[in-house]
Amino acid sequence: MKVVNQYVPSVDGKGIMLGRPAYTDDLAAPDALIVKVLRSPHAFAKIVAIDTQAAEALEGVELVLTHKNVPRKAFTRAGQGYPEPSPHDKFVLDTYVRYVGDEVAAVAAIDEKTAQKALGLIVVQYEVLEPVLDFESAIDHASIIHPEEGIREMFPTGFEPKRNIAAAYDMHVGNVEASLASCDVVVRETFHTQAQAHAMMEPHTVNARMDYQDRLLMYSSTQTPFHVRRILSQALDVPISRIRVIKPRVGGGFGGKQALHGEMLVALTTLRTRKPAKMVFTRQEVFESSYSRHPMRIDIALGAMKDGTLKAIDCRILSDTGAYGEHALTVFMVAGSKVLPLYNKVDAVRFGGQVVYTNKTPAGAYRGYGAIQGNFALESAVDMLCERLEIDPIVFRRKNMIAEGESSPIFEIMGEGTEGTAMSMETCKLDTCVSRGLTLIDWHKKYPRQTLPDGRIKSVGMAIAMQGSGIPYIDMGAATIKLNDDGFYNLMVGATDIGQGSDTILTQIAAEVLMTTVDRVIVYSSDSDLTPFDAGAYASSTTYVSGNAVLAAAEKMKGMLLDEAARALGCDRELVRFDGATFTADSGENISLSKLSNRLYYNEDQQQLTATASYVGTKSPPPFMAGLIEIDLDPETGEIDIVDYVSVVDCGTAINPKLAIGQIEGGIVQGLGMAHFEAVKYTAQGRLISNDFLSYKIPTQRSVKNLQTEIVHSYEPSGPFGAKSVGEIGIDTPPAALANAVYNATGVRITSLPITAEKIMAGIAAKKGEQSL
Amino acid sequence: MIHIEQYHKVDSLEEAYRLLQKYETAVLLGGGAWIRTGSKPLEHVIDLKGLGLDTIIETKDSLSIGAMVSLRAMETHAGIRQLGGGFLSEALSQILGVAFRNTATVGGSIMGKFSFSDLLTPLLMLDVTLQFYDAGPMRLTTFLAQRGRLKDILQAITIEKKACRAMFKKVANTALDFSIVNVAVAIVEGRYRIAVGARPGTAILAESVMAWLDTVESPTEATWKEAGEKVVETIKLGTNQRAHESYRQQLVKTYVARGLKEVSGS
Amino acid sequence: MKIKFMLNDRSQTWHTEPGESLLDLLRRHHVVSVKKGCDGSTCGVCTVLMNQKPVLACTVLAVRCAGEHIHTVEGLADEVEKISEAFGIEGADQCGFCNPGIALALYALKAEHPEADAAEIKQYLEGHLCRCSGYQSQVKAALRYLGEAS
Ligand SMILES: Cc1cc2nc3c(=O)[nH]c(=O)nc-3n(C[C@H](O)[C@H](O)[C@H](O)COP(=O)(O)OP(=O)(O)OC[C@H]3O[C@@H](n4cnc5c(N)ncnc54)[C@H](O)[C@@H]3O)c2cc1C
Ligand code: FES
Ligand code: FES
Repeated sequence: MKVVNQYVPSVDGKGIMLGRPAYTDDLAAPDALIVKVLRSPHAFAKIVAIDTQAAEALEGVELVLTHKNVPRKAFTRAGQGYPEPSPHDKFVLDTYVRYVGDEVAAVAAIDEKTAQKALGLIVVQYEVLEPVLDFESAIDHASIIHPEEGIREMFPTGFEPKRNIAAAYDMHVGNVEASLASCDVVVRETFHTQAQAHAMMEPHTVNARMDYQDRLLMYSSTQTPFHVRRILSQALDVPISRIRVIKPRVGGGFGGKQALHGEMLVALTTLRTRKPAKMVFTRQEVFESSYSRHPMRIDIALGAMKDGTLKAIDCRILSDTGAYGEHALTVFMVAGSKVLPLYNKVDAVRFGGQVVYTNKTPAGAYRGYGAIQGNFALESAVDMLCERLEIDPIVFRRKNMIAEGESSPIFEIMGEGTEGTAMSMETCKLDTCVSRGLTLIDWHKKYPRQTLPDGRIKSVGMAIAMQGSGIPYIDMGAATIKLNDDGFYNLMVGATDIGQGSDTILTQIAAEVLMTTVDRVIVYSSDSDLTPFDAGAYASSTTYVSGNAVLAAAEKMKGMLLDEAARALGCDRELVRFDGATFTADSGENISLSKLSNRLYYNEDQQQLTATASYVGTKSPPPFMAGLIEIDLDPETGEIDIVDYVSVVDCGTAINPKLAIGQIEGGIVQGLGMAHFEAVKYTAQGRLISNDFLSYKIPTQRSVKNLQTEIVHSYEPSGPFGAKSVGEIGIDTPPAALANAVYNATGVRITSLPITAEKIMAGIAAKKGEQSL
Repeated sequence: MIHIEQYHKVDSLEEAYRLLQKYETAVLLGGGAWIRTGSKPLEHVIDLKGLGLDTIIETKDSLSIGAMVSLRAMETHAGIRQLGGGFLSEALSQILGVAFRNTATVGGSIMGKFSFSDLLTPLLMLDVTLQFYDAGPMRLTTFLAQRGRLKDILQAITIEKKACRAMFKKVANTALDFSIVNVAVAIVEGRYRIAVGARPGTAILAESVMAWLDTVESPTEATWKEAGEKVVETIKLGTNQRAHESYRQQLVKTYVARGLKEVSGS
Repeated sequence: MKIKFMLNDRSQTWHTEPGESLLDLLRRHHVVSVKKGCDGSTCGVCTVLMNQKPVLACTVLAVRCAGEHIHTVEGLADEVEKISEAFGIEGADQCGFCNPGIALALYALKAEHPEADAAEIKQYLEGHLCRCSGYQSQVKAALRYLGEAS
């Protein structure tokens, strides 16, 4: 391969670094009205009265929106397959506010100062209600978070709002109770994970204007432009043909932009005033009033025989979706469906539980999408089980983990809020990942611990993980390739580059098929008017799903070119050879692509060549990885140094190895943040305190000393040039790997994230206390 | 955007001082980094830029650092790098990033009396005098012990050069984090000094422990441990969002003992 | 009030208000390379050079720039292109929101300390949060840039 799996720098890095206008706010109209939101100071309250007169009278204020003057039609902000598995439980503005930071009213004014001032002039009378802050007591709580009429589920998802249940799910294979009872050893443990913040660097940003055809033109920093268009149209009752959504360069998403945030209010402002309007979330709003990861309580039981055969897994989860139910069911299910098949040889497996509403910042999609939570519990519990069995955890994993050619019944049972798709692992190099990982980290020398000369303890820990590649039979990607005069191409994709480099890799795929170089393929993503449909950047789908669409479109284009070349050369198509630049007939006569293109557009047989292809997966081949961590732990303070993190990944063919490694390393470090110190803190009244980068710490340059990242050789037959996905898998292993390493160093098992130095120290102290008793 | 009603660009310290006294709500602008974090409108802001307070003067016996010297300029100054093995530079280098430290000033960092300060704790290892426009010289320790806001202009701080070995430890989650606790330990002309900051209260010296250490004839490892215990007994540590008191105690104990061991060269 | 200052080696006289940050002033005038990530001195994406030294544009009041020299990546294209090439080779560019700020920091680092090693680079770049890259590729790119530059 000449372009795919080769070193190719990103197609856009230079322009971005040079500061060319590219991101949503760079493209806002200079005179856009500033939209600001009045946010609830209460965790749960009913708006009894709201007086906007003074605000409206303020000079420079163009519009004030409250629940009284906006359409009332329930929708979900979640951008996912339609009909959505998320409940329609959100209104543009409502009479209830359901968390501190929820929207009360919006003001559009000529500048920020005026908007800010106007917010202060709105007088709201609240009836403050008892909030539900502890998700473990949410079900059947005296307070009902969604008592209102008009909300609904789109298909059966276990939605019981009167009980504060957003979704529920149960499945089982075999008889878990009986299987556990027959096991030699059973471990049971409860794990807790926190509401990690996405903390993408570009805040949620949106702007709108009426274009010269009097249509609503939106620029949105979104992962899902087509879902944005559809949801706006449905909730605001505007014909979908009157809306155009452009996704410019996006400054990071990680799932946080797989939803509508400011879009509704900004669209309404422009529709009502006919003036351009914009909104850029403050960092505090990003933390408080967008999305976070679903916190979960995971009760897990593993049963095994003395010989190290894992027999049964029982996993029960309570997930906290916060005030609204975006991605409630699907994230919950992925905590099982993309975790439990790792150990596919069990006799019995059971998975189930509920997703509950609380009066907290809503949870939504987030890289890993449940798998990181589930992985923390499962891979911690596996190490605990091994200790009880007195079996090396590496040996145990090798014996029980999924292998190439194998399957798991879970794939068929569990899908995207519905049933899944049976599949067997055509590629699974998990074993290679593990062995290579052991070598890279020098496991056998360091396991389980060593005492260093300065008194600190060096230890290692590991976990394995899997993810998916798109959502089969649901999410579609399409691509259009257009030939231009002189013989260069446009590649139009609805696939959303949000910084993960999909524009580059999709270009590489097209260039490879068309036997040309990336500079001859000009990529454009995404614009609901111009680019073909794509579900969006989520579920690790872009390379696999959209990549397959690009591959097919490029093949189609190649076929069209051969037809035209044959016509120009006056011979049979089968007799034409094409090397990317020149078509040669068997006679030796030839015509260059450039000439042929010019001929098509200016001289003879004139016509536009355009090829469009779509792809919807029929399976979701999982990428796999082994993640191994080396830490130096200070037993007197609990502080840890992350010395090394080794990732060995089976993602099929890496279309762009450097960018693939970038995805993995970015995920690892984000996962380490969640594992180690990204702590979410609320006051007793339900106000988020960790609402800026001072109080919520994300990893910095020196948080991790070294990363070693390798991609193993693997070829997924169903993927474009053998590729699977790589966008999410990196984030899954750090919590369990770190927990296991801390245990190996100290004997302290931390079951709630983040694993802070203080928790470790408390664990060490408690252990000492026990020993001295 | 913060709201500033009146911004005063002045030509002299005298004028700055006059305005400071004239307006009840006047604020002096050092680097302005902290001032910007507030949400209240500011009525009068007096800029201290351009008044010549941004120089470092080094003599044989002392370093005089202007109040408007940036944290980064202080950190990278050769004379500061030499003091006590460079512990002050080390401490400064742990306050946010380079670009931030190019703006935040020494004056603002001292006058803020920030409880989380990573500058005050190590400065307590040295004999530091604050030079005020009106009040004249004042010991740093006196300043820190004072309550209430001083309506004066800090012009410079003077650090006496003394033979000293010192260490500073900031315990934090990332380098961009506030200290969970910080500890400075030094041996200055043969006498020990220990300070603890971000307790979460403002930095203070562990004077009684320092005095006790001076009485110990030939200190051993056990002495350092004991000193750590004593510091925790005598200095008030507390609980806040960042850590519980018990964890702070553990950290202080450990780092005081380690610091003493390190600076004493044993 | 009006302030006069040098932006990318050209004199500009712009209107500002005392409370306005340099960041808001620049973005209002469509100098969009300078990003707003937190508006609170904590992320580094708003970095510009003031008299050749990196500062956080969100933290500096615009009024205080009177008479000063401000540079953004728009004014240092030659050098920034070299940095972007190094980033491209190492696959260090992802969403890119942090990149202009980092480019300016590297430009300043080269002037201050062209022999910086990996540890020194990490320390110098510490104030620049990046949620995408995991940082290691950025350090490799920085080493490449400094190596090629010297
Ligand atoms: C986001 C953030 C994170 C921080 N993290 C840390 C940290 O981890 N560790 C740490 O040690 N520090 C930290 N700081 C504090 C920082 O180091 C500075 O100390 C702080 O910004 C004050 O410096 P400044 O020059 O910006 O002061 P300003 O904001 O200008 O002033 C601070 C106060 O001092 C007064 N003042 C300023 N100069 C004088 C003077 N010459 N005479 C009299 N009064 C004066 C002002 O009126 C004001 O009340 C942080 C600050 C911020 C904004
Ligand atoms: S925007 Fe200036 S540091 Fe974040
Ligand atoms: S590349 Fe996205 S924040 Fe750095």
